[in-house]
Amino acid sequence: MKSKTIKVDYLARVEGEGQLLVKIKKDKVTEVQFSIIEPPRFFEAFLRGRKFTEAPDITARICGICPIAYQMSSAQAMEQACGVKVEGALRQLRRLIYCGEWIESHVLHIYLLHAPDFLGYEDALQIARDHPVVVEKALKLKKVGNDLMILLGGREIHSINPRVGGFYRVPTRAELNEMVPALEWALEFSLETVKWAATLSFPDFERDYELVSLRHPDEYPITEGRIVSNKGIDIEVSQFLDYFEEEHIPHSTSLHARVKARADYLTGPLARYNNCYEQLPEVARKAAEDAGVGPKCLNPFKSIIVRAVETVTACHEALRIIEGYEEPAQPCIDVPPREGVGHGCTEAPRGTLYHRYQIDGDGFIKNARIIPPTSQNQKAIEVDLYGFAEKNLHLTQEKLTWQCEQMIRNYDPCISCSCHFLNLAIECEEA
Amino acid sequence: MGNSAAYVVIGLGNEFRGDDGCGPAVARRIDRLRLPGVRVVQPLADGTGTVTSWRGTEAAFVIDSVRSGSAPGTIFHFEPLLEAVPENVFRPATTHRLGLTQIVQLAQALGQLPGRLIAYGIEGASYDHGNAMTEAVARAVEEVSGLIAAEIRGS
Repeated sequence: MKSKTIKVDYLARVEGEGQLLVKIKKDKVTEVQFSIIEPPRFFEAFLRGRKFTEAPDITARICGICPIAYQMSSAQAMEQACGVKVEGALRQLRRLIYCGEWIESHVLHIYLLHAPDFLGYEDALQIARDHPVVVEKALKLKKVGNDLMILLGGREIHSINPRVGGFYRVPTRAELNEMVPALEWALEFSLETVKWAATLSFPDFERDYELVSLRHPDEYPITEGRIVSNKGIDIEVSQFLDYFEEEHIPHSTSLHARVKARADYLTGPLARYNNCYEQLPEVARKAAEDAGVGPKCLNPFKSIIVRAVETVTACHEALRIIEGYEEPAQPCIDVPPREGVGHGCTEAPRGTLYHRYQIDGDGFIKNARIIPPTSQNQKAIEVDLYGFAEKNLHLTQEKLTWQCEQMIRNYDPCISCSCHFLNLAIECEEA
Repeated sequence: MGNSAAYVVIGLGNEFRGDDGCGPAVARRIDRLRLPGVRVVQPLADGTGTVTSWRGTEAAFVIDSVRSGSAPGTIFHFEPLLEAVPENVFRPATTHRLGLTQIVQLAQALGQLPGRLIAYGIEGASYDHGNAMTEAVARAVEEVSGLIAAEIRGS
């Protein structure tokens, strides 16, 4: 019996630090371990005893790519605990800043992190040398997202302007109007991005996923909705923990989530797209259709097209919100604390982000629970790799290793919230 | 966020990780001087914004912390467009953002370099949580701020 090991020590095009081990024995994948090796960060523990109004600023620090998601999920959870709902223009502004985050995060992933896999490049720098115009436009598109976040949030990440109840300051109509030409260009280039993504070649792989996302009757889900799945879940956000559970896995410092008494599930662009196709704006649906992606897409490698379709959606939504904007009389509504429990759920670029807080009558946090999308997707990544590796054992180890990495990046994993490097090893034993 | 300024001063680093905050600290000092024609930026995100922030400027000053094994507070001065920068000087501290070397390579590939690029590095000693810098680094921050201000005023 001989054994072979392929190791990739640094896989930098993920937001995080982790390891992957695939063991293959006699044409069978015997083990897949997607390990998060970062020490626990204890955010839930050190939120205890802090004021409920501090949660958006503290939890924003969990992630440098999607801090708005943390701010919005935590703010909404606190508002629910206090029996308050933010509506009207303030709700729209929340959706608008979230559009900025979707644009910058999706574009970063599409062009700088994921595209090299499809084009055979080691990194985005090589793409920039061969296709400078494309990368220049990609950076410009990403900047539109960042500029929207700066305008509404005060800076490009870890915004300082959103708060429980709304914002500290709301933009004037003139300030928002200044963004319109850039957003109109962004919409055009994101449509080109969909077309371009559709020209890539995709490994033949589909899986019967349980797709979990928010769904809202009137809009593509970003900040609100019921939690639904294609396998029958349709619940209020407050029921999240009744339907989903997390478990400790020896090889990971991150928890693995699953549907209770069922199995792994997938959250993120693919889940939103399949669950909420009808809520996409016409321009995005048309772009998807022209790109050859119908209402159903179960090939995880095609998530790059879906991210582009969601970028179109975010640009279109941003323009729609700005067009209808009427400056609210107050930048925020009063949220007096009261004893209770609140749940908040929003759609981070890479999936559903759930927060739950218990606060006392003075507004101090008694306990906190945060379930980020990548923790929810970890199990699905492992199951994908089992299926994908086994189906592709005929590939050279180099090619198989490449495509396994690509499979992980389908999820745009933000293990960042924990990690910096991903060590990947495939061990292959033959008789 | 136009690029009408002739000079841009860019402080790289995390101000909440000890000596890694030396770049933002220099940038803040320059900002307080309100020098005409100077824009100051402290990029927080992945570093790609640096490319767009220096495009079209006469000169860009970039300040970052360095971990090369030299004595804490050692000041490095390079013009990366004119000379080779040793590999161990401007390495990225995290895969979340590009290091200066990668930023320069990206800008080069895109044809978006500034007229001149002046990079200052300050050797750090402690990268612990918190915003306190070690004494030698804090002194270097003052010195680098003075050097940049003098260069801009004298040009």
